[in-house]
Amino acid sequence: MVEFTGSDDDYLDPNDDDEDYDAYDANFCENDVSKPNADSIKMITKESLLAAQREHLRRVMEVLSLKEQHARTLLIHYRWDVDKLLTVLVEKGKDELYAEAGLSSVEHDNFVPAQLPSMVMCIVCIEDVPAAEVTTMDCGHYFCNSCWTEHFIVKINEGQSRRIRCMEHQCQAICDEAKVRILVSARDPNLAEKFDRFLLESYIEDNKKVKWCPSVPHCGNAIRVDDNELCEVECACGQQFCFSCLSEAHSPCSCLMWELWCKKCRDDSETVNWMTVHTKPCPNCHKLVEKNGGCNRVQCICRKAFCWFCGLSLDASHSCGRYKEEKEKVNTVIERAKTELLRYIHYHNRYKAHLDSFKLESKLKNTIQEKISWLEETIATNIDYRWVTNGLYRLFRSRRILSYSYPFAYYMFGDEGFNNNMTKYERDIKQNLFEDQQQQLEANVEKLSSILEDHFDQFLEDEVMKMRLNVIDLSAVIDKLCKELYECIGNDLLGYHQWTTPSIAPYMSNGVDKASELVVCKDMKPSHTKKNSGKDAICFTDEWPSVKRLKTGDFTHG
Amino acid sequence: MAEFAEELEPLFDYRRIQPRNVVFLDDDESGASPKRRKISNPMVEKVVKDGKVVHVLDIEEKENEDWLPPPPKITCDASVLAENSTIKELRLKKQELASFAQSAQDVLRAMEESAKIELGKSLQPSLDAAADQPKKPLTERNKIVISIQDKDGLKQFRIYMDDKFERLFKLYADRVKLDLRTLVFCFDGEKIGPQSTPDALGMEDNDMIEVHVKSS
Amino acid sequence: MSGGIARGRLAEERKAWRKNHPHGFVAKPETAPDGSVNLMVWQCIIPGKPSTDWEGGNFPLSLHFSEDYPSKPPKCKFPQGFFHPNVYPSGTVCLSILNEDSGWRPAITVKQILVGIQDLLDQPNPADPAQTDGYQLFIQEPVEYKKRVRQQAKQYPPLI
Repeated sequence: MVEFTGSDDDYLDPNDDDEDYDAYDANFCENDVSKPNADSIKMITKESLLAAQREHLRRVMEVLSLKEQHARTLLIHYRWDVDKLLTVLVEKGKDELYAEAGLSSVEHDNFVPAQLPSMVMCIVCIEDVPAAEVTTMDCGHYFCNSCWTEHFIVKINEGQSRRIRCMEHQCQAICDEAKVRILVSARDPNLAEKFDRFLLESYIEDNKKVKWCPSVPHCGNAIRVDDNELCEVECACGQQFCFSCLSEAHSPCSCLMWELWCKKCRDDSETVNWMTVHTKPCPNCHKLVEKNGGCNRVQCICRKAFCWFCGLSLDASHSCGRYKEEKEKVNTVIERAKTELLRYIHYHNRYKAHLDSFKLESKLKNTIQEKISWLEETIATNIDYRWVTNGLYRLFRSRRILSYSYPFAYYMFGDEGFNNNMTKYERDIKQNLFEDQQQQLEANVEKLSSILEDHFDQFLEDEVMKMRLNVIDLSAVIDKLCKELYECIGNDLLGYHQWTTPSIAPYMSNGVDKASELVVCKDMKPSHTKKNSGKDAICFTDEWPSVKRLKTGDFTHG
Repeated sequence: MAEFAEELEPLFDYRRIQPRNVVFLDDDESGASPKRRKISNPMVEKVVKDGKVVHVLDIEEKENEDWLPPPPKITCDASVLAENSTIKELRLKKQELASFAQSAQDVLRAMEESAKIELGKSLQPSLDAAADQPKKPLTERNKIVISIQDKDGLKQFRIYMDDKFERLFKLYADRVKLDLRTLVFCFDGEKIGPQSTPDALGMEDNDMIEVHVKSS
Repeated sequence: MSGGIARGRLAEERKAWRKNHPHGFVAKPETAPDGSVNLMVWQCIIPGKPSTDWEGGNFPLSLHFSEDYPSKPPKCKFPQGFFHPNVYPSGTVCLSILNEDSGWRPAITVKQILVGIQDLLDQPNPADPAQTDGYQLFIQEPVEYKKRVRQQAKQYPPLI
């Protein structure tokens, strides 16, 4: 094992403001461990949104020889999952595929109103209108343009652009977007643009593989993950998040546990403390009771009277003033609440302590950078100091992992229902194993932390070499321990239940994957409706009308 | 009633002429509603608009001319063509009728021009009719057609606006061979007294009243 | 945006109703004491279907139309506390054709709404409970449920 050197707090600059330490992680790659997801994570900007969906649209248009708007209707219904769409096609046939998506009789799509008599009645406004002022949808139902327009406006304003159905009773057909666009833009061009934007954003809103970056204020980007959707990603804006639940990256804690934990921390941190001091559970209904007077014989709203001192029912045998040897036996209700609270405090303290260390260590980055530049300028050696920064990033990542391992352990080994299938005996064994691993990791992380705080700029060369070896060794050990911790959690603990299929995001030795920008070429022709024949590259239109007015704030999240 | 037919009692400003477009809503249980159709009843319309007695069928039942059987059920996506042909047919019929009514109106207008009869402004405001109906001073007692709905459907009767309902009720009872005392007539959910008149209830041409048979 | 077509459509609906409507049903726009008519609120009566437990009841229902009608459905309300599994405690009817996100279509007429609600009375939809009282009895105590329905029908006797 590596030698443990004393630390010095000088390097922690208290004036340094809290920075966005999230962004540090992925900058440095020390060794090339395989990155399974790296190429499959794409960032989609406002500009590349259309290009991103072209691929899918073109595929569907080609397979089914459809117009773009019909392909889009299908894709919206099947949540942009081309494979699923094709499976339905194979299994149920074209007719059913279309019917399910509300796409009717696309074959004879040019249902010209000329087939109608010169005057027709619109059964929505119950007025007679010239056939020229009537629009017939693919389903064959026709209504006057004014009624259609009113209907579209109401629907678009409600954000339902993507599934505007025909107005006829029991008709499930989705209105042709081209017809909607023509009618709405005649009345309100701005709304027509909104309609177009909603349609485009369907690719994000109705697609489990694409999600808005959760940054606040919103950066306007979305992230697409092609392979494993259970992962952690970093947007170009620097925001790191769990792609699955959109909260901060929290592995190895699972999404559900993390959600519960955040809620608990929010709700409990103050109230739980207050409640334990000021209330006692009623021995009858177990609700917490607050004392509002001096008398220690209190009565719960369930009318049960009990003793404030011992929390027990005030019956004839009550005698808590007497000293008894085995007190905890009778005090079970209170004891349980107290134990539970202590347990929570234990895990929360460690969770918080590692997060705090992480924040302080983040500031090390600048001081270490200064030391390195000073060394490189003053002492002309060939020493490559990248090992210091590499060690530092290893420290950042493992700190976070340690921190999040505590909420995980809190739920995994508590009575919150995450260990239903485990016997007490099994649970104890597993808890011991897990805690051993966790403690080993913790010890090594602390060692690394203290070494990195050394004044290596004042070291002799052999001392520097020794520190370098220490840091590299420790980093490797920590990397291995982290990996094992993830495996233990994913396979042995969470994998224990078959019903929690995906458990946690995979361990990323080099930190959270950064999304790469979607490749876009700008030479292709525009338009929503035109068939795109581009081959390899995804193409982008410069003349996309609806993006021009976009402001970041306009992007809505569901 | 025919005996009153020739008496000229131009008392009413007949504001509620037959709506140009009559809508019949053919619902069926499943709600798979076919297109609602608009048709006009040629006989009734003509008579009323003319204000003359042509083809008079006073309080004669007209065999449910305008109560079409519900059109065949059609599914939403399939039936475009079938539907269209029906509608086309109806439309032609309607256009024909419209032109007929138009010429009748012209005659009426000419009559009115020559007559120039001063009419009192005894206006009976319509219960909930649209205000866009043109005023039409008439030279004659107004008659309207009223449908009585029972279990078997609609039976149509012609009645003067100021005629007491008891005559109509009696006539109906005779026709269906039921004791008048067992019958209750309702308009818009309210019982109609035998002394009341269409006018008093603000009734319009082609309004429908329901008849209920007392159970005991 | 122009005022929409709500009023025009409702005037036409009313015209059609006066000429013909299902037997025993009433549907008329609200009249204020000064005689003015509010087309946006209709007072209706739905008769219970013959040979069901609802027979004999004449159930009052009000329809509240919005300016977005017919793009949006009217709100249909029975009296507060109306006993039926699919009627909220406030009296609002829960029915798929009245749900703007699923079954509602602008072409649905007032007549279709009323007939649809009449059907719902005797054929509740247990998948969509709106009140606990009616739902639990319907599911667990059919006898008591029938009793309550008949009792309620008596509460709303015909006018005649």
